[in-house]
Order: sequence, then C-alpha cells, then structure tokens
Amino acid sequence: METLGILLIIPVVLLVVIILLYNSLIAKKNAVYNALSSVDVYLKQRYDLIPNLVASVKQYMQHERELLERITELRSRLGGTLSPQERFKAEGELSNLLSRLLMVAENYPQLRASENFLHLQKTLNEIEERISAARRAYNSAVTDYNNALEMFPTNMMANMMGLKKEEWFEIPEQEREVPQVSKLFGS
Amino acid sequence: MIEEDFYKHLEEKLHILEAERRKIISWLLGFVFILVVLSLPLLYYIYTHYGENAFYVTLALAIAIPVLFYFERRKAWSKLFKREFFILLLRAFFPNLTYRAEQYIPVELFVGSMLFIDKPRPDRYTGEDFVEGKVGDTDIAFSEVHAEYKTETIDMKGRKRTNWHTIFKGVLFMAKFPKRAKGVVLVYPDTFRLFGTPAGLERVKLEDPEFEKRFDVFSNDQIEARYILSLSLMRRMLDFILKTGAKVRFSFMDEYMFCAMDFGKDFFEAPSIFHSLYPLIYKEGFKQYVQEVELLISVVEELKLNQRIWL
Repeated sequence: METLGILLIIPVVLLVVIILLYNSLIAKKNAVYNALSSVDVYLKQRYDLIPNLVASVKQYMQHERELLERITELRSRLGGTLSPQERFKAEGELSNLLSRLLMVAENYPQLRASENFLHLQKTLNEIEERISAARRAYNSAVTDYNNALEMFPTNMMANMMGLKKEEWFEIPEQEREVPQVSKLFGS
Repeated sequence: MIEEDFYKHLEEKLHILEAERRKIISWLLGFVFILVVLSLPLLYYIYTHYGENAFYVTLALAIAIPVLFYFERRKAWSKLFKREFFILLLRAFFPNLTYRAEQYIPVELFVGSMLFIDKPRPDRYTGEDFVEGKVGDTDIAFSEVHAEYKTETIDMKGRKRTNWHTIFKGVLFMAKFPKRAKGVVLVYPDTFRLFGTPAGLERVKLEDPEFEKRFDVFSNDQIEARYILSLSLMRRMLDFILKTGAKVRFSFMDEYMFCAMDFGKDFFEAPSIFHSLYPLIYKEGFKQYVQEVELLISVVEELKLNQRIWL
C-alpha cells in the first residue's frame, strides 16, 4: 500500500515541477518580449522625430551635409526588415550620430536661437533617455531569461521546449560620451 | 557687504542671548544656594515636627519645582536661540533658504513619500528645524522629523503597557526632481529584502553591482525606474552615501525626490546653556552650523539635481 502511495506521489511531484519550470520560462520569455516592445515604442518615437529634426537643421548646417545624409540613410534602413542584431547595431549607430549632430549644432548660433530646434533637442534628449531606460530594462530581462536557459534545472526544460538565447541590446561605446554633450546645453 | 552685516547682527543678537543665558545660570545658582542655605533649617523643622513622610514630600517638591522651572526656561532659551541665530545665519550664508524652528515636514508627506512602507504607519510624529527654498534652481525643503509607532502589551496584572518604537529619526528631505516619474520608484537599503516586495511593486534589478549591494529598488514600472535611476545618478547616490556615511533611503514620485537621511546626530541644536555663546562669533563657532546646512543641501549638488538635462 505504502509503496503504491509513493509510486503515485512521484509522478505528481514531477508534474508539478515540470509545470512550474515551464511557466517560469514562459514568463521570462514574455518579459523579454514586453521589454522589447517598450524599446520599440521609444525607438519609433525617435524614428518619427528625425525627419523634423533634419529638416529644421538642414538650412543652417550646410557643412554637415554628410552627417545629415548618414542619419537619413540609417533611418530609412531601419524602416526595412532587419535581423534583431543588425537592428540593434543600426539603432546604436543612430544614437551616436544624433548625439554628434546635437554637439555640432553648438557651432551654429542661429540654430541655438531657434525655438523650434531647442524644442526638438529637448524632445530628442527625453526620448534618448527613455530609450536608454527601456534598453536597460530589456537587457535585464534578457539576462534573466538567458540565465534560466543555462542554469540547472531550467536548462533541461528549455532544451525540450527548444528555447533560444536572446541578444542583448549593447550600448555603443561612443554613447557614453553623451553627458558631455548634455552639459553643453544643460544651461 | 553681507558678511560684515552678518557679524554686526550676530554680535548684537548674541549679546542678548548671552545675557538671557547668564540670567538663567545665575537663577539656577541662586536656587542651589537657597536650597542649601535656607531650606536646610526648614526641612529640619518639618522633619522634627511633622515626621519623615512630610519631610520627603517637602524635599521632593523643593527640588522638583525649581528643576522643572529650570528645564522650562532652558527650553525657552534654546528656542529663542534657534529662532534668532539660525534665521540670521541662513540669511547671511544661504539667502535663498528660510528657516522656521518649530515647523516640520507634515506627517502626510512623510507617509505619502512611501519611504517607510516596510514599517507601520506612525502613531506619533514630531519634528523641528524646517528649511525651505532654493539650492541653485532646485526647490527644496527639509526638516528633522521623528516618527514612531506604538505597540500595546498587557502585563500579568492586566495593565496595559504602551511601547513606542522609532520608525525614523533624522532629516526628511524633499527636492524637485528634473524628471517626472510616472510611477513610484523606491530605493531602500538592502536589508529590506527580508520583508519581501511591497504590494503592487516589483523589484528592479539594476546593472551597478555596488548599487545593488547597498540598495533594493522597487517600482511599479521597470522602465520608469531605469528612466529615473540613470547609471550616472546611481553612481552619484553611492558617492553621496560613501562621502557622508549617512543611512539613506530615496523615493521618487511625480516631480519630487524624497530622501530620508539618518546621520546619527541632531542638526541645528543650540549649544549647552553652560557654555558661553561668544566663541560662536569670536572663534567662528558659527561655521560648524554653516557646515551642517552645507552637508544637508549637498545632496542637491551631489546628485546634480540642478542639471536639467542629463543621461
């Protein structure tokens, strides 16, 4: 009788463990997608802002045509279909170019006096901060998820479910220079 | 010139306060003299004519009443000192700040700041030394507060016993924060983990390992928490607590940052009544108070709250 009881308990416990593992992995995976969609919201906002920004600075910044062209080109590339890795790279590059644009804008007094530009600059700054926050949240969710994929016993479950590791949204080196930029128009 | 003006005014005020202080001290000495010289025969008379009990009662009254008077006068003097001295000091050295000795940040803000949601709501709340104004472009207000909650136990004889427990004793500081938080972000000391996650909030794991070691962050929005706690702000918060050695909690909501700072000491205290006030001016003793204010408002500078845009 007792042995039968034990034999019955084992599969029940096993089933509960499997359900828990499965659910925790799914929750982690969904957290990654949720975070990514938040990143997307802010990236989209920036994407929409760029044409305005380029248009407002174009007439003043004759010498930076190359920079503006690269920004426009990168933007249109982001409009197409890209693999996540390519996309993250392009977005990172765009961040760098935009911060450079704002930095060189300092050399154009007319631009600094333009209310429209100042407004765009403020908006862009705000969006960049939001992107940075969302990206950090995304990376944190990815770390959590990837850890689960490598750690015992969730790794066995993840193998069976065929889950794959997700990519981090890396912070490009140059972007860390941004505080210096913000100092320029912080006052 | 503000400095010369300050010295002149300070000197005037200190003369008045010093005279008042000496009055209290000589009154106290006079009382001791009277007690020793005059009450001894009286007490002897009571002892011999009315017995031991009457003697003790008279003795107790003869000591207690003047002692109470003394404490009352000392309190009044200390209040006077604080009011006169600190108003002068702040006007000279921190013209954008105002001081009110007997006011404090109200309990609604203490509770609303969510700085202590791991503790029971306060049953008793007092404070003093309210300062408000601007540091640079940043609006700030702070005061010392003491929040307590009570527990009641019934002893073996069925008597109710009330015990008071301190929730927080220190400086409650609030400042306008350059970013507007859509939700709530709480930065608690690491030990808070023992109490679990507060309802409606989730734990936010941040990148900075040192920050994570010292603090637990809770928020109702993972992204918002990171929007408020930028990497550079986290660094600055760490630097601030390492520099000051204070036990600190932060919370962010709407456009405000709240901060509970426990330095393990009282600020804005009047000097002992047995010490002359003149060193305050002739030995520049007042500078110690200037440093106290500087320390408290350094949080604005350290966290760079004046910088309107930063990443």
